[in-house]
Amino acid sequence: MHIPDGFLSPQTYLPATAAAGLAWAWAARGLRRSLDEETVPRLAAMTALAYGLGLVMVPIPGGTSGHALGVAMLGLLFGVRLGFLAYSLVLLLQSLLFGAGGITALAVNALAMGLAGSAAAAAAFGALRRLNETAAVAVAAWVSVVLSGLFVALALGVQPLIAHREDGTPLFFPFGPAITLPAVLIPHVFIGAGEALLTVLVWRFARARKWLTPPAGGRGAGGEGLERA
Amino acid sequence: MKRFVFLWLMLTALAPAFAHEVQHAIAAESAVSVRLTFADGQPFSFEAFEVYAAGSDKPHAVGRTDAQGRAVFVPPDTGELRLRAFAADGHGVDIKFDPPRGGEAVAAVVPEDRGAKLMFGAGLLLALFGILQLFVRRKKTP
Repeated sequence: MHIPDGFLSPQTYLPATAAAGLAWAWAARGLRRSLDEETVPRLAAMTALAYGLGLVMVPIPGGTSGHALGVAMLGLLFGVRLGFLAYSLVLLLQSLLFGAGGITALAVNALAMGLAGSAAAAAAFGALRRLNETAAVAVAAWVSVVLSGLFVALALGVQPLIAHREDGTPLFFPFGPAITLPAVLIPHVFIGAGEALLTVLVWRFARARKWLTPPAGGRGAGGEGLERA
Repeated sequence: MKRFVFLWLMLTALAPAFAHEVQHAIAAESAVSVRLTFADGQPFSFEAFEVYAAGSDKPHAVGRTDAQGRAVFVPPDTGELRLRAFAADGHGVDIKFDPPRGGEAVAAVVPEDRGAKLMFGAGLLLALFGILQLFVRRKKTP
C-alpha cells in the first residue's frame, strides 16, 4: 500500500505535505503530557512491531501478497495522535531503509495510513465497543486497513486526471480510479481480516497486562485512544 | 492514351496502400533486462513499464514485464535511463541507471541483507524511544 516516489504529481504531494505538517503539529501538541515512563516503552515496542509487520509479506488469495499495517493497534492502544506520529516514524524508516514508500509520497502515505487508519480504528471501536469489545477491535482494525486503502487508491487514481500531457498521456501514475479502487481494495479486504486477527491478539495481550487500565494519573492507553478520537 | 491515363490513376491510387505496409528486418541486438521482484521474491510479472532516455519525457520503450518480472528493451546508444514500472494497486518502481551496452558484462547484483536492515531499523526506533524516555524521566524529576 506504500506509494513510491514518482507516482504522485507535485499537485498532490505538495498540498499533502502542508496538510501532513499541520497534522503532525496537531499530533505533537500535548505530547509531553500524554507520555509517561510506562507509555514510552509500550509505544516503542508497538511501533517496532508495526515497523516489522509492514515488511513481512504474506500470500493472499488471488496469487498476490500483502502485509499488515499495525496502525490500528497503535491507534487503539495509544490514541489517534500518538498512533499517527508513531506510524509516520514507521513509514519514514521503511522508506529510507527499504524504499517501501517514497519520500515525496511520505505525507500522503502518513495521512492515508497513519492518520486515517488510526482515526478510523478509534472511531469504529468507540462506536462498537458496547456491543462486543473483541468484535469491536476486529472491525476497527479491518476498517482502518480498508479505509487507508481507499485513500491510497483515490490518491493514485486521480493522478491521470490532474497530471497529464496535452494529448492526455499521464505524467505520473497511469491508472484511473476505476482501476485503482478494485486493485487496491480487493486485496485489502483480505489483508484487513489478517490485521483484525493480529490486532485482537495484541489487544488481548495488552489487556492481560493491564495496559488498558487507567493508571493513577487518570490516563489509560485504551481509554486515551478513544477520548482523543 | 485512355489506357495510360487509367494505368497512371491506378498506380497513384495504390501508392498510399504501399505506404501503409509495415516491413520488418531481423537483427541481433544487445537488449537490457531489468528484473523486478517484490520483497518476498515474487516476480513483478505482466505489469506495464516505460523507459525514458535522460532528459526526455517521450518514452524510448514501453511494454510489459514478462512472467519472471523482466523488463526487456534495447537501450539507446548513450546516456542514463529512467525505468518506471507500475501495477494498478500502486506497487512499482521509478529508477535511474546506466545500462550495460554492447555485450558489456554486468557485475552480479548482491542481494540486499534485508534482515540486517530490519534489525538496524528496529534498533534505531528503540534508540529514539530510549532518548524520549530520558526526556520523560527528566520531566518527571522534580
